[in-house]
Amino acid sequence: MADKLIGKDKIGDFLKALMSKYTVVAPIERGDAPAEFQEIADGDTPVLDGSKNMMPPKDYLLPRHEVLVKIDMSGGETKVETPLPEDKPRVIMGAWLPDAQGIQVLDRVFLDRKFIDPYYARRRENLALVAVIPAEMRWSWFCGSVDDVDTWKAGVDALMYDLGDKFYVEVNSDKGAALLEGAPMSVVSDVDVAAKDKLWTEFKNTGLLPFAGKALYENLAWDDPVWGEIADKCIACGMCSYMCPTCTCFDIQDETCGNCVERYRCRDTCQFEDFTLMGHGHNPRSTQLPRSRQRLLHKFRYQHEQFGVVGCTGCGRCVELCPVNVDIREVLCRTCAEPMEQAAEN
Amino acid sequence: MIETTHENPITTLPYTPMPAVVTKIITETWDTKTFRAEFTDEALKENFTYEPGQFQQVSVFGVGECTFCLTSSPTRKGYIEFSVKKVGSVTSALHSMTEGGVVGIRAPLGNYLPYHEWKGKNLLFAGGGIGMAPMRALLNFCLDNRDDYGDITTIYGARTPGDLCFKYEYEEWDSKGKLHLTVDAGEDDWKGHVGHVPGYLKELAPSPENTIAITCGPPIMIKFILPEFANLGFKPEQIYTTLEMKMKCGVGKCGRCNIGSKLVCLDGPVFSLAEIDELPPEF
Amino acid sequence: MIQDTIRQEAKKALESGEVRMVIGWGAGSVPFKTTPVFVDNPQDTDKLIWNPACTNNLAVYLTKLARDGKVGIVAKPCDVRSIVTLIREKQVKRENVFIIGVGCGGVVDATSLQNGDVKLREITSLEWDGGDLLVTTETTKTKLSAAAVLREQCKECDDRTPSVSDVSIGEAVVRASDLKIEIPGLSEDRQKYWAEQFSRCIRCYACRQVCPACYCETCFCDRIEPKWTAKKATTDEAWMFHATRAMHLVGRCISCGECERVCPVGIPAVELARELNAIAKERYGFEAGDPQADKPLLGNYQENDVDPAHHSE
Repeated sequence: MADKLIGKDKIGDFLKALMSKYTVVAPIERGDAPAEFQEIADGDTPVLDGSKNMMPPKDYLLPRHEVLVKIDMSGGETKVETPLPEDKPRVIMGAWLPDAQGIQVLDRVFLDRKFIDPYYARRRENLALVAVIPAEMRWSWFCGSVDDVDTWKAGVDALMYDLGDKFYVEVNSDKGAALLEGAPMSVVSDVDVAAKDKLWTEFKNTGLLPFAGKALYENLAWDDPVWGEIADKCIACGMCSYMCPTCTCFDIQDETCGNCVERYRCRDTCQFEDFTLMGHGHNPRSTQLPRSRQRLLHKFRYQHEQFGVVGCTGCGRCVELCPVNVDIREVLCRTCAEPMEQAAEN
Repeated sequence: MIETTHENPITTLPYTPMPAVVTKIITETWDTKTFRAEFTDEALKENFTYEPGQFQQVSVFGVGECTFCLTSSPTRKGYIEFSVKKVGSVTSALHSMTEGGVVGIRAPLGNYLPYHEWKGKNLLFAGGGIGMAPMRALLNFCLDNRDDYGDITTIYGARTPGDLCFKYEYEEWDSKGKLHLTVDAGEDDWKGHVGHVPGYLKELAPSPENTIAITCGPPIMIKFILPEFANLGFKPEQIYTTLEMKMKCGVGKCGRCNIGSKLVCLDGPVFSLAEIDELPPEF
Repeated sequence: MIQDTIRQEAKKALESGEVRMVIGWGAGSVPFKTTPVFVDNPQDTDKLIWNPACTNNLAVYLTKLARDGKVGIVAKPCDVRSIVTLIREKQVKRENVFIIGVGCGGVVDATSLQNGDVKLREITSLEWDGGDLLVTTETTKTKLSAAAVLREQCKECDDRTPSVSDVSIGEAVVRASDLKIEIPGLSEDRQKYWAEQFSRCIRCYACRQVCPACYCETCFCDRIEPKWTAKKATTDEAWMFHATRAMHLVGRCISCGECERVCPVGIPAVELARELNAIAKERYGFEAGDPQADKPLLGNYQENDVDPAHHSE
């Protein structure tokens, strides 16, 4: 399908038509708080242009609180039920491209290993992804430094570029074409293509760090002094993990209600002391230093070893939000860039 | 809603525990009990298979889940066993359970001891305390397939005679194989060896020739036993152990049991020392 | 300049061996942020900075760092109130802290800069120019009013000079008077307001971790036996966490507003403690962070204390 334009004044009609066929999941504004991906209802006006702070879309695919099993022990018998999410066609709209790419990272963990996560799979299987490149890049983005962002387009079914009063829509898959079938769209002109290309170039170049490629995951060292420096400063909250579009760690807990038990999962993070604390008191990561190291090495080295991609998409949330300004870009510059310079000299 | 069926759901619904009745509780020591459980689902009870070295997630519904190795041998069918040291909330709840109680089981999980590669070889088990539990699965498996293996020697130690587990099987272990017991501190009626497992290993000096060593025990024992194995001429490829990390999901998702890029729940819990040497020094 | 004096005083204290380390603010990864720095070498004191973005309440590090031996700390008047509280609660010994106090007229909420014409990525420096914030970029200089950029808790603050210090630097500045903390919606239906706030909580515990008064070795909500609150991020559980934390902060929260600043979902948790503090002041005349009080609020029973159970509004 050829690229098309859709006027922002037509978006309401488009969404309405879309909602008759799909469950539409898009960022809903919540005052000063970041918008959150929710299933939209009639009359909702989601943020589709990527201009606002938003929670990562993982919160929809991997809810912060999800019941995994229900155990009914009334009547002397133990019955176990597995409440899986509804199987229905869904579309996620309005996700920043780095967030949409983050879903690719979630896929590796939840769909790619020996066990498929049935809850994630139910939401993911029949899901179309429509990402957005906003008119203005966020100051904290460094997407072009973590990956070849051109390859990210294949992971989304359609990509919308905010060109002011209209969106330029690039369709990347049959799923995307089906999604846009019958939408009130018009053909693109050379001027539109040029504007779109300009926006893409700007995105690619936003926050580029002075290293590239292999340096990102090969130069991270286990015994780099930077882990200790981060640990000195780090106050051990879980914000960087909980706001991250690719951090997936979770805990499983039981809750009793009469003769019934609900076993749910909820967020957890390698930054918390009890994350790896074992029942008998031993903790392999008993201080903040190994915990700080774990998060970064996991994203950039271990995930690359496991899946061939790094687990960071450069969305910059942790850069913007860290209470003590531990800036992942600075850390990467220190750990990754230096050997590159040496390489250039050789 | 999906009602769980008569098959083991671990492959399709990996978080769904299957109810099992505790049919036997053996008090091993003052803080350790071994539980025998049978799935309430008859078909699952019949068809359930596993390999020595694999582990399971055991639920006490309403309290939580905990990771235990399958300590029974797959050759002894119809039930599974796990040994529990009382340390936290789930293990305490298990300890206060009586026969007839219901637990939830997700199993089998993880890799296993590659016994099929060891046919015709001598096996040397060196265990300390509750560390005997994961090795007992393979030990009894090999004793039940006695003709497939050469010498089967076990060195097992604990702090005191009262801390030794599986006493009711020593006769079998020593008659079909050879069992050497040791304690850190003996009591008046203790006639056996006194001393730590690594020291006893040195004293017994088994030959590394055509031998696989399997060792499991508290971290401090592992730390001191590895150099002894090396001194005896064992190569890292000949030494196997099972690693312990905190786990929640057991199926490679929850993210807490990694050592470097390896997940103990998927890539382990069984590792050869050669494999461990490749991992970051995280434990 | 205040910054130079901070560096000189830190250098002196390190060189004389009085302290083994000075905790202060250093240049952030971007010009509109700062980051905590721990200077243990007199030659590194030029890492210390002072600008309108020095927001962090560094007293949060004292419980860990001033346990053995003396450390220096650069502190705004509100941060000093935290230190006073820590000393009163015997978490830190007075003789283990060398306070380099700095007069302060309020610090800047970096997110508020986003709303102006200024693009964050282009900012090269921030400085006060009387009652305004002068924001410099490569090509422009823009003045933003204090009312628009001050952090919420700085708006009503009347504590401009450190109440306790070993060295006091800089003068008290009043940037703007008659500013009021505005929390839209809070004055109407409080139950509804907080339910909505807590529904957003993701349980990252940044509010707790950044708080100098939250120094418990194991927080009640991390306890397994008994389990006071579940780990899941639902409104009820978040309510339990925030309400209990607020109760624990009565007479102890010094309203630095760090919890509000760091919350990624915009929950003004500090307002809970502020409200409780107001009650403590009204009934018991106790003000959190007041160096004159010799005992903590809840550790000081007087026979004529108001009994909350019989207190009539």
